[in-house]
Parts: sequence; C-alpha cells; structure tokens
Amino acid sequence: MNESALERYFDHFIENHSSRKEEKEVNEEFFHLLPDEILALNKDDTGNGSSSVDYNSQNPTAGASSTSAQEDRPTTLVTSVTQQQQFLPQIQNIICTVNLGCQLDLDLIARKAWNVEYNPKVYKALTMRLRKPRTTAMIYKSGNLVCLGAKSVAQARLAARRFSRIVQKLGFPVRFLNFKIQNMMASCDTFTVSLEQLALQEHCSYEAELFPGLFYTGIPNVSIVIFATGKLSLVGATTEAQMYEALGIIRPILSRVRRQ
Amino acid sequence: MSRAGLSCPGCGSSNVVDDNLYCQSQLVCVDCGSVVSEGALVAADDHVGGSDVSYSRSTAVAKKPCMNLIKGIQRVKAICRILRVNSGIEDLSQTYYNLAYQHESFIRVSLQKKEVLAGCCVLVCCRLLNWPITMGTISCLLDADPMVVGMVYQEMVKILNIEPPIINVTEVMEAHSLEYKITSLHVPEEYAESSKDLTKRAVSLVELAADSWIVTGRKPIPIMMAAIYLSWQSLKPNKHRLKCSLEKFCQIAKVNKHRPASKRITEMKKVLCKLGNEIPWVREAVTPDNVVRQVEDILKHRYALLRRALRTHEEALLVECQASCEDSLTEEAAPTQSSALVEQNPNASSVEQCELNAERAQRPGGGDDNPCTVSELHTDIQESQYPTPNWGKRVLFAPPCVTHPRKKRRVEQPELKDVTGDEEISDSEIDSYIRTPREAREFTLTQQLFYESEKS
Repeated sequence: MNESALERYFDHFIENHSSRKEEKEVNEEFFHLLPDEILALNKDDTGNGSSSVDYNSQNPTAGASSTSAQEDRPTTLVTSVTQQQQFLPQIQNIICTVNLGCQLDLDLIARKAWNVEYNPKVYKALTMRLRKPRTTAMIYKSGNLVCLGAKSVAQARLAARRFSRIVQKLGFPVRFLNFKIQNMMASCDTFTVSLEQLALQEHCSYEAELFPGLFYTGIPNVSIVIFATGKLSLVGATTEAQMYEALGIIRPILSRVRRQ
Repeated sequence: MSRAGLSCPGCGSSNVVDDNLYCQSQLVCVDCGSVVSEGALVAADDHVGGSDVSYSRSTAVAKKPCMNLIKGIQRVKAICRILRVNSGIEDLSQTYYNLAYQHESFIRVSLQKKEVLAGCCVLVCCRLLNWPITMGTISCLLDADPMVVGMVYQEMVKILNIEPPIINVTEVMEAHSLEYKITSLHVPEEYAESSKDLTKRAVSLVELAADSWIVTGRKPIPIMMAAIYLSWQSLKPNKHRLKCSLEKFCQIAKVNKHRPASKRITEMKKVLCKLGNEIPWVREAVTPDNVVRQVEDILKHRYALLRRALRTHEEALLVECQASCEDSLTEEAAPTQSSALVEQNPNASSVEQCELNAERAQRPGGGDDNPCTVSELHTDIQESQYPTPNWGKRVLFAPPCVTHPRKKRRVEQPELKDVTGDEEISDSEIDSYIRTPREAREFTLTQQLFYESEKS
C-alpha cells in the first residue's frame, strides 16, 4: 500500500486541522442555505476535532470511536453519517490473479477436493470456494488462478495462498508466481447530490431512462458511479492509493453540487 | 515527319515518314505505301513506373455506398420527418449515421441494430440541438426494446465521442402530453381537458416532485404520466374523474400504461398531503383520498407551504427530542468527555438530534456538560442498530430508497480485520477442504452410478 498517498489523502480531507480552509469554503456554500436562526448560533466555527483513523482495518466505525473532541458544528439533518465517516471507502471486492507455475489436472482436483464445482461442458475452469476469507477462485488447466471476493488486499493475498496450498496438498508442484491485483471495487458514503447539476460537468454520463446513477469517467482507469443519495461505487483501481486519489478528485466536484 | 537515313526496302525511296496508326507507331514509305517498321501495339514505355491495375479499379469511378447504408440514411430521414424536426437535426443525424455505420462496432451488426442506430442518431442530434425527446419515443417509433436502444445509444455516443446534455423532464412534458387524446374532440365533456392547461399543471407538479426527491434517478415517462393523471383529475375534480383509475385514464387517453406510474402517483400524493396539511384555511386533515381537490391551491402557494412544512417538521422533531433528551441526560452520572457513552437507547438517533438541537436552542443543561459527542453517539447507533441510521425517516423529504430501504445492510466479518496476507496456513484448515481417499472413491463411484442411470 502506498503510505504517502494515503497520508496525503488523510491530511487533505480527513484531518480537519490541516484542511479547515477547504472545509470552510465548502461549508460556507452550504451554510448560506441554512435557516437564519442556525446561522446566528454558528458564528464561532471551530471545526471538527482530529480523529485517528486506522486505514489498515476497513472498519467504518474505527474512525469515530477514537475521537474525543466535541462536535461544535451542527451536522445537517440530511446527512446519514458524520463528516468524519464521509468519503471513507470500503472495499467490497478484489479481483486478483496468480500463476501456480504448473499444469493442473482439473478432474483430479474435482475428485479430491470438497469445495469445488467443475462442469467442463459449461466452462473449462474449475470453481473453488473458501470459507475464511469468503472467496471464490477460478482455476484453469494452465495453472492460472483468479481469486474473487476478498475485502482487502491482505485478505486477497491470504486467500490466494490458501487456494494454492490446497492445490499443493493434492499433489501438484505448485509455486506462487506473479500475484497481482487486477481490480478493486469499493463503495463510499457521502452527502446527497444533485445529479442533474453534476451531469452538466464534463466526463459525466447520466441517462435517467437507462440507469439511476451517474457515471463519472474523468479519472484514468477508475470509473465512479454516483447516486443521488450520495453513495458512490468506485471500480477499476488496482491499488488503494489510486482509490483514495480518485476520491480526492471527486470530492470537490461533489461538494459543488451538494443538495439539501 | 520523314526519317533521315532510312530507305524503303520495296522501292528504295528515302521518303519514310512516321505514321501513328491509332496508338501504334509505324514507319511508312510515302511513295509505295509499304510499312518499313512498326512498334508494339502498346508501347513498353508506357508501363515504366506503372503497376498492374485490377479491373474493378480501372472501371470504377468512385466507391459506391452499400445498399444498407443508403437505406439506413433514408430511414433516418423518415424518422426526422415523422418527428418534424428541423433541417439542421436532419443533416447532422445523417452525418452521424454515416460515421457510426462505418465504424467497426456497427459495420457487421444485424439490420435490426442498424435501424436502431438510425433512431439513436436522431435522438442524439435532437439532444444536442435542444429538441426535447425521450428514448421512449424513439423505441416506440422503431418498435424496439428500450434496453437495446439504450445499449446502441451508449455505444454510439462512446464511438462518436459526443457528450449530449441530459433531458429536462419539464421540457419534454409538452411533447409528451400531446400524445394523450383527452381533448374535447376525442372524449366526452366530463373527461375533456385542453392540452395547454394539462401541460401547465403537470409541469408544476413535476417541479414540486423534483424538489421532493421523486424525480432524480427515476425514468421520466412514468413520472410524466403520473403528473398528467393528477393534473387531469385536479383541473376538474368532479366525481367522474376522481373515480377514474390510472388504467381507465390510459384507456380513455389511448396511451400505454406504465407500471411505475402508480407508484409515482402514490409518492406525489404523499408529498401533496404533507403540503396540504399546512394550508391554513383547510380544517380537515388532508389524506391521499381528498388531496386532489387541494392540488390547485397547493401548487399556487407551494413555496410558502414548503417553508411552513419544513419549519413545522423541525419544531416537531425538537419537541420529540427534548422529551427523550431529558431522559437520557438524567441517566448520566457526571459530565464526561471521553469514555462514558450513553446507554443503548432505542431512540439513539433522536438523541443525536436532540444533542444538536439542545446546542442550537442554547439550553442551560446542554452547554459544557454535554456528555456525549455526536461521534460517540454514532458509534452507539452503529453498534446497536444498522451501520448507518435511516436518515430518511428523520427528514421531511427524502429519496424513497432511503425512507424504505429494501436491501440488507452489509455486515462485515470482524475476525478478518487484521490480516497481513503472509500468515501461516495451518494444515488442519487445508485438510478440511480435501476428501479422504475413501470419500474420493465413494464420490467417484456415486458419480459413475449417477451418469449410468441418466444414460439409461
């Protein structure tokens, strides 16, 4: 994982003491829409306290529980999460590949292992599943293995190693070559946005007649699907740093079209 | 031209001239007419630097477009004439069709898809040149599956690298309402309505729906159908119209009913009820059954009613929270800033609101002694209830998918949080996935028996 990119993201967008100016700009746009009585109370805006968010664990509650500062600024009625939890991506699926380095006899694997499905007439690969972490692997005769379903990079690697250990135990001279993350899918929760206004910007494709979400393709390799409720789905990143970078790019764009 | 130094072998005369007969050069004696020498019929020199030319290239004048392309362009023109678009759109759509047809993604597709491509070219040009039209109209015209039209449209837009603007529902409304045969020429007087009035009221209804989260992300045609139905009922809310269901209305107006339109009607009626209850001169409670009569007043004063409704809702929430807030505050032993969390409270979400409202209202008890931070409360909420609270139930207007969530919340597996990927893999765990030799034998035997029984 690229620590420096994470730190940059964290400093910019999550750690409020360094990003207060940016937050203020965003929030000022929002505040002028609030009723007058709230604006009057809100003049001494001190911002959120710092939070130590542990990115290694993909736990959405981790960030919130460690804070001790008070929330001076009232959160808007319409947001579902506190500002500290917004824009925190949760990886839902990782697709990775590894080469086992030898030819495999899929019939033998299908006979000797419990957790497999093999229908050569339907598809020439064998499907193997693991209980922990809950993942699925497609194993080919050439020795290539595709692992799907892991929720973090470490889990993906562990799952791939477990699959290759199972195949090794069945008697094949297995190696663990060229492990590579091919694709990551993550979801993220933000604030409600106006898709109609966002669609006026470039790189946005919004066809309400076909799909309720808006596709943003302005970031190379990463495609983001944005829904009106503020839920994002990021697809295409190969590293976590790329994902955070993509979120960093989309955040100011979404802030401009925030909806009450 | 006489050639010097040459003499005729027949008569010996030196008067030999060049005489090119057609393209063959000949030396001819003037006196006796005999040919002294002749060149090849086609001069070898002509081929120097040239190449063999195939028959089709030597006879063809220019490459002709294929028949299907010509037919496709004619179809584009026909669609444009049916829709009565201007000449700019017609020309542009023909250009786009030419370009898209010759791209590798569309050159070898079926004729049906090529026809759909023609419709999509017209659609994209209408969008670009500000002519409101929906994809539904094109699919009706082509009698094609809307999904196929959508697919071809997306691909075409990607190939031609166009970014067409989105359609605004209010702009399309006028064209859509003309499809409804509901004027006095088509139906009896108690059902008849002028298209202009219908459109105007339906546009206001759609604008109100857009403000209250009904329009965004949804297909426009069911929304327009719902708006037209409600505006038709409300323009003359007599007993004939009020008793008329959506299905009957579609039969009268000779349009195809869209199933989601009923849901949109329900949603719109809910919003209208919320605003209708704020009208000061209406004494009785406004329900979905009697809201149609109030629609005219609601739409006339909708901004004021919206403001009132939001204020009333905030006040109601404040009152509700103050009651539960007092309970939760008295449960706290001492003011804390870090670890003392509020006990698991069924009204935890409203307690969060209460804390905020307490700050806002500057209550004496809620100043420095604020026992809990919002984020800690949030942790509680997350530990006790769903990962994110259902904010749709706390606000007046929210997207229906938030108010009535259908999906199960994703539950994370807690035991796999701190893996590094390089842990030791225990043999016992791996062995649980592998069959023993006996089990493998039994499995093979059973499989063979199964296949044999299938064959027989």
